[in-house]
Amino acid sequence: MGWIQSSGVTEDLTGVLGHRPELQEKFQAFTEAIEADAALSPAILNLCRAQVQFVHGGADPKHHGLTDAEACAVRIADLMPHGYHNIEDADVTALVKHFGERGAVNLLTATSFYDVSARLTKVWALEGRG
Amino acid sequence: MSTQPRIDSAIPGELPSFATVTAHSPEIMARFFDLYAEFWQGGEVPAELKELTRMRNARVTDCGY
Repeated sequence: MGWIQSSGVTEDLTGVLGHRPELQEKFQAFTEAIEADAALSPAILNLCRAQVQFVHGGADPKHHGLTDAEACAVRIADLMPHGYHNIEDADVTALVKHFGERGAVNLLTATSFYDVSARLTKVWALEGRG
Repeated sequence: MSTQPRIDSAIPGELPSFATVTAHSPEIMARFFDLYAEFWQGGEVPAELKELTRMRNARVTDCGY
């Protein structure tokens, strides 16, 4: 059982955020906007989400045969949770080269909020609940 | 970490800032500020306490924003 009871909608992050329905609604709209933006493919976002979750103790995504663009994205995802001060100019330059400025903004924002979600899931003891 | 903006402003004539860089992706920016406004303006926690935690978090994470 998590430390904070679900609001009754679901037993995961969304359920706990449901205690603040307006906040939950806007959090969901924001994350959906990240997923819907055409600047990044769902595959890239999935790679990044898996890497952030791995840094937070989740399953090893065991990336193999990554393209240069994918490797660049995964490096950002790997550093964002605990090593963001080690994200170098060259890393962001590479992101812009591979994904454009819009894609770079989206990817940096996405990895930041995958980190937020992972932290909330940990702090609220919701692992394995969706 | 660099102290120079790494991504240009999306708004001609305006300097890079959190808002003008995020503006490269207008829908994401709009939804982010909706969320941020709700976080600051809604809920049970007083704004002063939220600001205190924001400043503490910024110090711990070495954020100069």
